[in-house]
Amino acid sequence: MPAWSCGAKRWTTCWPATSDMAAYRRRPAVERELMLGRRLVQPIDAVAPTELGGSAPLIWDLLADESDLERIMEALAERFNDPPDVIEHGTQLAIRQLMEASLIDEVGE
Amino acid sequence: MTSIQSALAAIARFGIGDTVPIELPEPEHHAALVTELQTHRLLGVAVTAVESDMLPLTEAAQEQLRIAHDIVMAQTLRVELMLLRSTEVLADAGVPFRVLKGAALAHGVASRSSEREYRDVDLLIPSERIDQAVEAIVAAGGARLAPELRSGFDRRFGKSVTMRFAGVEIDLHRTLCPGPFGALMFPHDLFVMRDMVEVGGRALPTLDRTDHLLHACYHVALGSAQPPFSNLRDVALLSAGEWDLARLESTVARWRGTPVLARASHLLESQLGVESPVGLRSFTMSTAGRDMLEPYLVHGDRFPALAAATLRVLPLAERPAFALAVGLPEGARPAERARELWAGRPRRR
Repeated sequence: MPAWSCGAKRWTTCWPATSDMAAYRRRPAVERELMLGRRLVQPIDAVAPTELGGSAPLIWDLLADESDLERIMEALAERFNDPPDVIEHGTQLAIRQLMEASLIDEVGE
Repeated sequence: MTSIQSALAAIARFGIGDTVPIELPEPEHHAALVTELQTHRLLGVAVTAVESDMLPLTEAAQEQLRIAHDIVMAQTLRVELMLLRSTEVLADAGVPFRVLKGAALAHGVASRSSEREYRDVDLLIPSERIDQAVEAIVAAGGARLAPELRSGFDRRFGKSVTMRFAGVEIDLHRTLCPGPFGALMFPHDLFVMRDMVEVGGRALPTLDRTDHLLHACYHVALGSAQPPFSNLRDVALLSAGEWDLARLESTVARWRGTPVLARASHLLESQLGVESPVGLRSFTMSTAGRDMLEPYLVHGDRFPALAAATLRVLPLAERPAFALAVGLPEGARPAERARELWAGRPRRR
């Protein structure tokens, strides 16, 4: 995975070589914000909604405009001061949660 | 300390005009307040107010609010999916429609869609296409809750056809209200202008803001003697934005709806405590207008009072068909029907 620059940010880094820099696409869904930063999402073809918590709602929002995982982590790095490995870990966890709930699909390049 | 009623009104006003902290009753009444928020469909607005630190509920009441809001949002999503399904069915059948009320206001007017819950799907259908719309929903697996009174009643006189589709109520509206004001309106006017609202990634046609305001006024003024605060909030939110007073006045004049707008404007001020915009205040109540509103304000079953009042405003040529359908629906026994109508005779407040 080539190194990438964070542009105007304070630091420049590259994501760990083990990163799975796949791309993902949201399934068409209806959704509502809940208290405490949670989100309720129900794909159009699903029988029940899924509650998203932690960083998953933020990743879900970012996936609306961006499918590439590397760019998503870049966006998160611009927003938070956490080191890249922390951001990557959080992102991977959220992606796994979204995949398990069948809210997103992995897409090829 | 304030009363639960005053707190409800303040929560219903939240985010309209100046945003100020909401005065609450004593903490021991907070649980009752949350219960009332549910009745008045204001859970989502209360959530926004709590998250803005403007609604200092006790921790227990906040937890009660969180659970109630979670449940209502899950129900709303289910209804929203059926909105998508039913509009897809209508589009496939070539039936024009406009999304009304809850869904349209949640996505087009509310600051956050989670502030505006709704419990059924409301769609406006052109009168001449209502039978086709019903057939399309039935073919897709839906069912009407009550049979048509007599053949042709729905498209000539009906307010709406209520259907059940995958467990969700779908109201196919021909007009915006029952009774004489429904008979006096020209629902095709509502198909002239169009806005789009995005739901689940799909763009659906809905009324424009002026027509939404008109509908919200009809709903709040004629829906019940004591409208829920969420309906008053709809009027306040819509009237706080940009709308076309000249077109509203023109439509109201055509529909003879001045008493409706006058009552809506009055309720906005007396119940919600929001100063009505000058445009709405220009509609004033007359004695004749007050009389026209009376059948809408009776206790219990309003149907007999509204049917009698409708008969008086219909053109002479249409009265026999209407009277026959209401008085003796298809398959009804005259004596039984007479007892039903008598049991539901109007009792004034």
